[in-house]
Amino acid sequence: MSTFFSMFLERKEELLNLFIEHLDMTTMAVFISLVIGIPLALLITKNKPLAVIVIGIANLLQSIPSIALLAFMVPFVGIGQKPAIIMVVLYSLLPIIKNTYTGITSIDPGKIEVADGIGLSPMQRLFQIQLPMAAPFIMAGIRISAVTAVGTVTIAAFAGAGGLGWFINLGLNANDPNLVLLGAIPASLLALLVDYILAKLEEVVTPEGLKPPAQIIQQTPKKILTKRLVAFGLCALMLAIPVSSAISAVVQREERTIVVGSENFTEPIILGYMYKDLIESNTDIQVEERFNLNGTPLAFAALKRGDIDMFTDYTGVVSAVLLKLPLETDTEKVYQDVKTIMDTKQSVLVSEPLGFSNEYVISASPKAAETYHLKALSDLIEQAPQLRFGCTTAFSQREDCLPKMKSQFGIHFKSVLGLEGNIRYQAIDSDKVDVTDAYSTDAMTVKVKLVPLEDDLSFFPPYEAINLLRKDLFSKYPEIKPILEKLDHAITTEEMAKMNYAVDVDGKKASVVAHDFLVSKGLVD
Amino acid sequence: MIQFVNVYKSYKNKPVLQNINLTVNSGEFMVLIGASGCGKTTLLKMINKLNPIDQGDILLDGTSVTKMNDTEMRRKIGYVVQDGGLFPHLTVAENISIILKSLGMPKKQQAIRISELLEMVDLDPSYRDLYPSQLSGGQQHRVGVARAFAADPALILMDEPFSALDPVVRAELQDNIVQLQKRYKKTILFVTHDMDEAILLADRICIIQSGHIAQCDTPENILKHPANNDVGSFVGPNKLWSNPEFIEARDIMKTDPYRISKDRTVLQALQVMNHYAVDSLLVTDKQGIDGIVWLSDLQNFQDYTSSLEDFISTDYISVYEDTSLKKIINTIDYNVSGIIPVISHEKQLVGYLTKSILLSSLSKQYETSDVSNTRSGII
Repeated sequence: MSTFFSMFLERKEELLNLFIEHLDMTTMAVFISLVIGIPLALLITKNKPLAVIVIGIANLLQSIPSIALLAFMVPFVGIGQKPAIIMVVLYSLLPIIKNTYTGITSIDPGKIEVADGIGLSPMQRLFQIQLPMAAPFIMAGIRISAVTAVGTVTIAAFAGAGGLGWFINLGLNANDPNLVLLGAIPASLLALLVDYILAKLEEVVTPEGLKPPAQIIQQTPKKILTKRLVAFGLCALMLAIPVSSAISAVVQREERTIVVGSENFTEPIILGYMYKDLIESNTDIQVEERFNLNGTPLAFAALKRGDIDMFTDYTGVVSAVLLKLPLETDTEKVYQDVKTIMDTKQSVLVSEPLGFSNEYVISASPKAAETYHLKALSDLIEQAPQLRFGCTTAFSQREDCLPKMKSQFGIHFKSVLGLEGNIRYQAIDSDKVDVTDAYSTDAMTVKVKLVPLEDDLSFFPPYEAINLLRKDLFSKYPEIKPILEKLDHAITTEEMAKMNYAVDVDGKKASVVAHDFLVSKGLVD
Repeated sequence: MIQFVNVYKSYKNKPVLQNINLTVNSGEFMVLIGASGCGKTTLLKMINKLNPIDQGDILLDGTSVTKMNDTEMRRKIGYVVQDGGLFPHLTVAENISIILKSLGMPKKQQAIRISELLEMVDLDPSYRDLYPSQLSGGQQHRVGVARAFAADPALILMDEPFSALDPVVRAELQDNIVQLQKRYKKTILFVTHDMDEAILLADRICIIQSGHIAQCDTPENILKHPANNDVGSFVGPNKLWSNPEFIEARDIMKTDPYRISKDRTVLQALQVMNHYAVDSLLVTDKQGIDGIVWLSDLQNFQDYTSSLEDFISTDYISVYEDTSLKKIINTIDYNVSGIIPVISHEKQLVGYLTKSILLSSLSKQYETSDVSNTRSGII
């Protein structure tokens, strides 16, 4: 608890920014879904078959997993707040459309006929009769969608949109519940706040006459006016914050801006901060962060669209995932292939290797290594029937990992246990498994003493860290070429693992760790 | 004035209204009546175009409704429906002013008009800010009526407005609406399925049976001369007798009264009375009735040859042939009157009534169609 509190104090400014960012996206998304949803719902009240179709589509959208929807959208709309807001809008539409539709269609048709019969025009009927009578339904829909939106916006962090999901994501990467809570608790509080404000609004827009007679409170016009002012004021405030921040973002946006992207785990985030730091301390160019992009394809799509100008990745990943090249284990060849094909076919520049590799390193517990004399991969294959293997599902599924091990070497473990993230290290530390798939720069390898098994069979493809850049970047800002090159061959695997450890285990800020490294290397002051 | 010209309406290819030709005069209280499903409400709603006209035309003061703008024409027609048709989310004042507002009346004037209207329908001004759910059914109807009168329309359409109310409240509102109609000289088209209500309210009643106008006439004529058996059975066999104001002296009088000339003698008069077993005779001449002679006046007098002229009494009540039964019952003195002469407006004797005739007339309302044919016995 005390660590949580100190973390809160340490990060409170960042938290406030993320909180406002979160509120921004939520209100913006809900506002847009209102503007789309209510007129659409009104339209379909007049056409039953159309209503079935529209509500069906809204239902369908609701059933798509949000992360999938987000990933699907990035190639079309890019990264950042745009896909996040679109995603939240699509999710918010259903309750708004459905409730508005139900609210309007559940009005006694007799009342509508009377409204027509006494000579109200269709517009007067809509605004004076139908909408007020449906108001409780519509407001309930808005409240549901707004509260849900606060939750859905946390997913937005996966597309580099920021918001409180950023902390949650960082916390999940670092296996740090405090950091997760630092994002989750304010998100819950925000949900409650939004619900409270909308409840106030609901109170004033729900016509008094629709309540049961015993609950009707005869109010003076003055009191009604005050209540309305308070509720509308709160809502205006909720809308004003995103609008003003959007305006200020437009106003403040510098002409000379580079957007640095990063995938959503600690290592590339540290690297992203390093590039940001280098550019900002050596030039007058503004750097915008688009960290926490969910995976290589998404980050690459963002790079191609120009949403980001650079991001770091690994040769093995780029080769297999983006370029779909056949499996190759020669480090130099992989790098050259990636560099050439990216340049010629994709118009993307690839930097020199940054120095470290983040490869799969099958690692054994010291006890198992000693007992079974494990030193290299070939030893492992021999001893496998006695060993318990704990690995990530990715490792057990990916064609170039466990399946290939089985087909190529006929490896057969005593048991294979699917374990995620840091749980692997806990499992190996507490002697539940003997061998695991580690990454060479993994923070935990610093903490938990593991024996890395040498890849004497050239089994794993190389995963050299590289920086991918848009080709037009250097033509726009030729001065940054030598600056970025400062990181070429600059980081050893051990240094990277230590930096990961500092962030994931010691709970230091990635930006601080990045800066300290650059200072220690004399790259910045 | 509303004119229905060959109005035809079908629903799913089945005609629901056919050959509707009807003229409702300005200031007239016209009641459309019929069994449920006969098309009366459909017809009403065709006037303010809530239901479109398939064929034929409806003219309002000579202009076809099809040529009028829906919204504008409806604002000039008051409209009251069964449950009052109030909007639950609006207060009484807002329910009434919604029409005034749409007509662009200034706020202050609206407030004044609302007060007038509430007073008109006998509602306390303190009801202004209440919501419909806080009112009784009757009060809601009063507000509904007030709303229909709000813009002072010449024509008001009422669609079974009172049918859901209890009899006491209904009677109050019926009185109220009749008064308002007469006072403000509105043309009212009123739909009901209740014959009693129709008789009470209507200047004319239009009976609709399975999409046709079966009969359109004054309540009196419909009661007395139903156009066909269907109308008769719809009106109900005894309806006339429960409405004594529509029964006139000539409807129940006996013709050929026992009469005698004033030139006759007392003896002759007594003989006539004896013969017909009556206690009075009308004394007539060519000009009309001279008076009446009573048995009691003659009995104690011994000079049978004396002229009847001295015994003619003018202490009697005569009624015009179109005086209503209700009025007769209310005015005559049962202890005194024996024979009641019925005269034309030209003072000619046309018939007579007696206590026993009145009694038997009134007892007819208790007749049922399955009266037993038993002629003797004790009941």
